Amino acid sequence: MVVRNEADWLTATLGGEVVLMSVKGNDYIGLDEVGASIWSIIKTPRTPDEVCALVAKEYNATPDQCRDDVTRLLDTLKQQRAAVERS
Amino acid sequence: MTATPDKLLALRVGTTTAGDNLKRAIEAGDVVETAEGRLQIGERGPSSIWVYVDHGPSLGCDFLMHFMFDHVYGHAAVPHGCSGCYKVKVGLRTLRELVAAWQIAKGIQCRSKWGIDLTNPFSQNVYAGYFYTAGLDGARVLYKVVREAIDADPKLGAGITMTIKRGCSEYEIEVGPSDSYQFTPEMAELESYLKARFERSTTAQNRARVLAHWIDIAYRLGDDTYLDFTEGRRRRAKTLTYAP
Repeated sequence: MVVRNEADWLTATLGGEVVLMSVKGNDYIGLDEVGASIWSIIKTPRTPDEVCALVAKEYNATPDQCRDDVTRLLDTLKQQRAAVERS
Repeated sequence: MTATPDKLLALRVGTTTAGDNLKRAIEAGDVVETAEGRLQIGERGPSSIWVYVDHGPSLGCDFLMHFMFDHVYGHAAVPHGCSGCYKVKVGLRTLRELVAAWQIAKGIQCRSKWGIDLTNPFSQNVYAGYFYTAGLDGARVLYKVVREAIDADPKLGAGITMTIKRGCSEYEIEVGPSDSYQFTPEMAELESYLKARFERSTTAQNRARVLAHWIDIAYRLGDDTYLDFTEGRRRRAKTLTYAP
C-alpha cells in the first residue's frame, strides 16, 4: 500500500505556518512542521514505512519514534480525502 | 469597606443598572450563569478571527468588551479596565502586506493581533493589525518603532496607514469621543467583582481556520497577492466562460 497526497489540495504557507486547503470544497487542515514534512514526502507515492523512515532521517529520530505521528496524520489526510491509499 | 454585590450591581449605566442589564442578558441566553454562580458568554459569543502575537499577557478583552461592555454596561459605558488601552492600528491593503506586517510584529515586544478587518463595521480597511499599548504616551513611542519598521520593509513602506486610537471603535460609536470617557472607582470595583465570577471560553483558537479564511477572503476580493503563499496555485479552478 502506498499513500500520496491529492493534487486538488493546495498548500498555503503564511508566516511559516502551513494550511492545506481543498480546492473543491471548504475543508482545511493545519500542519505543524513535521506535518508539513510528511505532506511534502507524500507528493511521491510512499508506503507508511517509507514515510516513517524519511521523517526519522529528517528529524534525527528512529522510525518507531515517528510512527504515531505519521500514522495519525496519514489517517487524518485520508479521512479528509487529502490523501489516497493505493495498492 | 467593600460594597456588597447588590450594591455593586446597582451601579447606574445610562437609563438602567448593571444588575438589570446582566439579568436581561442571562434571560436572553447571551450570558450563562452556572449552578455555581459562574458567568460565561453564551454560545452566540464571538469566535476569534485574528492571529495573535502573544508578546505579553492576554488583556482580557473577552471579559471587558464582550461581557462588561456588551452585556453589563449595555453599550452605555466603557469598562474601567479599558481606560488605559490605546491601540496602534496598521491598515493593510493586500494579503501580502498583512503577512509582511504580521512578521514584523513578531519582532516587536508588544501584544498585537492581525487579520481581516472587513467584518468590522467601524473599519474601512480590508486587512489590519492592532498593537495593544498601555497609555497614549506608550502608544506614541510604539508608533515610531512600528512606523520605522514598516517604512523599511520593501513589501510595505510609507504608503501604509497607521493611526493611534483609544480602545475599541464600538466604544466611541456608542459612548462618544474617546477623550471624554468617564471612569469611576465604582466601575473598577464592579468589574473586579464580576471578573472573579467570569469564566473565559476555553475554545482554543483554530489558527488553521483563520489562515485559511485569509486566503479565501483574498481570493474572493480579487487580491491575487494570496498567490505568494500558495506556490502560485489558484484557490479555485477558473470556470469556463463563453463569448456573449
